[in-house]
Amino acid sequence: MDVRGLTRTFRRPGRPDRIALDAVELAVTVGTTHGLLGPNGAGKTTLCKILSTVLLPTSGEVRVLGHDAARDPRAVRSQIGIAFGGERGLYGRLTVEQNLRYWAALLGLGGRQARSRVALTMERFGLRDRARDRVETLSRGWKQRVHLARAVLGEPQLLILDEPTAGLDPVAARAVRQIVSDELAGTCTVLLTTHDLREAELLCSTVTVMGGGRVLAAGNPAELALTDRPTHTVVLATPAPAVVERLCASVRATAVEVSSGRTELRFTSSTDLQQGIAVLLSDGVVGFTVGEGSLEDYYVDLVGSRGVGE
Amino acid sequence: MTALRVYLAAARLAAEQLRREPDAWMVLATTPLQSLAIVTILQHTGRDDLVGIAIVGPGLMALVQVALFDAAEQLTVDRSRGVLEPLAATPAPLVALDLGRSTVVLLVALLGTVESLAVVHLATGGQSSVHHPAEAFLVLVATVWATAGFVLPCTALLLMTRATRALQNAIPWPLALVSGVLVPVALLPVWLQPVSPFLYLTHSAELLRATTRPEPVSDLWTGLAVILVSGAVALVAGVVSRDRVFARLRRTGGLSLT
Repeated sequence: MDVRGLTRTFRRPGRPDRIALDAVELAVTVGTTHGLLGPNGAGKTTLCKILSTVLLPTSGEVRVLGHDAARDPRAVRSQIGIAFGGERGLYGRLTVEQNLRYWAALLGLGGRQARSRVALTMERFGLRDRARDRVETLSRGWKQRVHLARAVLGEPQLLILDEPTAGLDPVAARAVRQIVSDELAGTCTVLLTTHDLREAELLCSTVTVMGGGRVLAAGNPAELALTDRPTHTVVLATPAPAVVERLCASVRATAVEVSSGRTELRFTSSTDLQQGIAVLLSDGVVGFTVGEGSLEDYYVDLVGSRGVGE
Repeated sequence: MTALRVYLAAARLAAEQLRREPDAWMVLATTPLQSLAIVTILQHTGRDDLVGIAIVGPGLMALVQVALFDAAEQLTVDRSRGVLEPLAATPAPLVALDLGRSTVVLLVALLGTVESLAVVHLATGGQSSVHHPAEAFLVLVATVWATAGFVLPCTALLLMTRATRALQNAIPWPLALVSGVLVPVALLPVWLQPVSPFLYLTHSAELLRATTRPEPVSDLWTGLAVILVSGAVALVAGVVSRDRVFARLRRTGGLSLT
């Protein structure tokens, strides 16, 4: 998958165009699982739609498995599987098996081949016992399994999973992650969008962090976390703005107002942490809690100003 | 092979949906009642010669209404269910899909004509009947074909508008009126009559009414040819317009509502 200078704008009558994607560059190696991270409105779903040929780019080039997604969509469609997920996207009054049989036919499978592929896929995704249940009676987690099963029916070379665990309870989310890691990873190239950095770290060999329609960072998730993310945090029990200002001037630390009156100091090394604590103690500040930095902190720092809905 | 497979899968899907979503069957409840009302008025006014209208009119109206409300709306409903994007991302020929689903719902609507025939037959004490069943069958098959073709451009039209219901309500009655489904074209205002020959329903209605009279059906093959060609033209127009609409929706992001 090779994306170069991809821009996508949406017209809004009477208002300036909304830029959903802005000069996005992305390359994904065949056979890997790549994560697209970012908050709501980052442009992840727009990118997935362009890759799956249901949306045209405004400018730029998008090649999927060697084919131009804008000019040669038919060639792309025969090699991809998509799961946009959520409550919608399936025929609720039909059973799981009827849904899958229908989609198998649309993917060109017929007769015995379709029947065996559907049966095998239901087995793989733990859907065999729910085969005759109407989709509308399934929980969100089970629906997500049906979405995933549908996406792989055609044995695609590229699988696009748009937030497969969004809205799921922890148990269902874990089950879906297990399916992705055990059943899908390694069989084809997977592009997975998520809000959840931990999920990306678990499932993806490479990630791209997006915000406001732009690529903010890209690389191996572990490396990204080691190089840039805060390793330690210090949360002050009471406000001490003068001390914080002095500390940030002398030590490599970032101060973040995490809630009203509560300040969190983020350090990227244990040496900086020790120096920071020394500054606090020397200024008589003893009410603080020391913790480990999280991937979430890194993520929030990175996309912070491009947050929800932008 | 793929197109046939998609056509059959779509027909199966429509049949399953009909079984579980009985809305489309409503037309079978209203059609015989309309026939009964028309035949009662005609008998009361002594126009037994027009009884064919009571058999043919409501049945063809049912076909047009199902074409617009059920067949042509299916992709619009798919969009609201979030299914249209995954559909568009498959390599399947969507024309075969449209036709497969339309065929099933139109065949259900066709049962309305059978009901109308039965009701009128009973109401007239067995005096009204189809005197040329083979010809009537041919005309009905041709009419379903033409209506399936007519569904395709309507599908494209409904996908482009948010005023779906307004359009669906606006089209059937004027169409039925101008094509002489409810009132023979010869009885329409003179200024309206030139439009009628260009509508396949005009020929369907005239031929079907002719099959309810004892005398031989005149111009059967010409009428059938016009209906079949109209269906083919509508099909081509539907494919072209649908391709254009899909290209536009891919450009605007309109394949989904979110």
